[in-house]
Amino acid sequence: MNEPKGFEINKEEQFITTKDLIKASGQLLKEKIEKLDVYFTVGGMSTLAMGVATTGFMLYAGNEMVQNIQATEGIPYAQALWNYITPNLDLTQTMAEAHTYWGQWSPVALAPVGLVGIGLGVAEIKQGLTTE
Amino acid sequence: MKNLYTNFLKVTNSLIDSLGINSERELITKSLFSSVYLVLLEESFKTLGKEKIKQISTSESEINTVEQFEEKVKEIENVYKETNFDYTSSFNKASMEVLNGFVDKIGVKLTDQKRAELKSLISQNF
Repeated sequence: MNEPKGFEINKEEQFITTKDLIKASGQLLKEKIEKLDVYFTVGGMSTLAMGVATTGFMLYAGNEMVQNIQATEGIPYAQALWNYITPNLDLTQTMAEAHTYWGQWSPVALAPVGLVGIGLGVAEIKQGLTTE
Repeated sequence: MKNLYTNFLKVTNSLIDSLGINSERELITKSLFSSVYLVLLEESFKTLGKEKIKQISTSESEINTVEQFEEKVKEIENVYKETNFDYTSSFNKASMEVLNGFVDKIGVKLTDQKRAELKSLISQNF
């Protein structure tokens, strides 16, 4: 099956492909994880301490996110956050997914999938708002 | 009030559209969105320092109801209020950093004109 191709770069028929974009976004994410990894290693925080601190940030960021949506769209933020986001904060699954994806354990590997949970929550809220 | 998140999604969609890609949009957007949050997380922890990081630390077992959730969020918000961490400005800065980084990563396959067009799209929206 031929991969869908996008923007044509030159006359020699080079194209930007979906794979290029997935690779670029994945590399970027990996770099951000590694940067945080170093931060926490240097800071001397344990994996557990970092995990719980990250959850605190996710609550704060998630709250900011939904409040922001509420300000423009008018939805009850706490209920929306509870319904859409917290079910995604499954740390066991997160660690397993991160391990599968990166092929190694990382103290901060749990962060992105939890944060993706917030992204998914927003996407669902957005979709819900659009279809209402 | 400008909606930070729908704005981020809108700009990301425009970037992907501009490259003519129609598939796996959600996966790409999720990765980019996660990167924004990792940048924000790092920025936030740098601003808080170790003691305040301990204060915001939360375990899942502490939160079982919406009320507990709201109470915890209030506590964490108060910790952030004691610092100069500006969520909105940090979110926009993180979005720019991530989307510019994304363009740089695919840059080797872009013409100078296209790269400039994408960077301009990012700078105009944050």
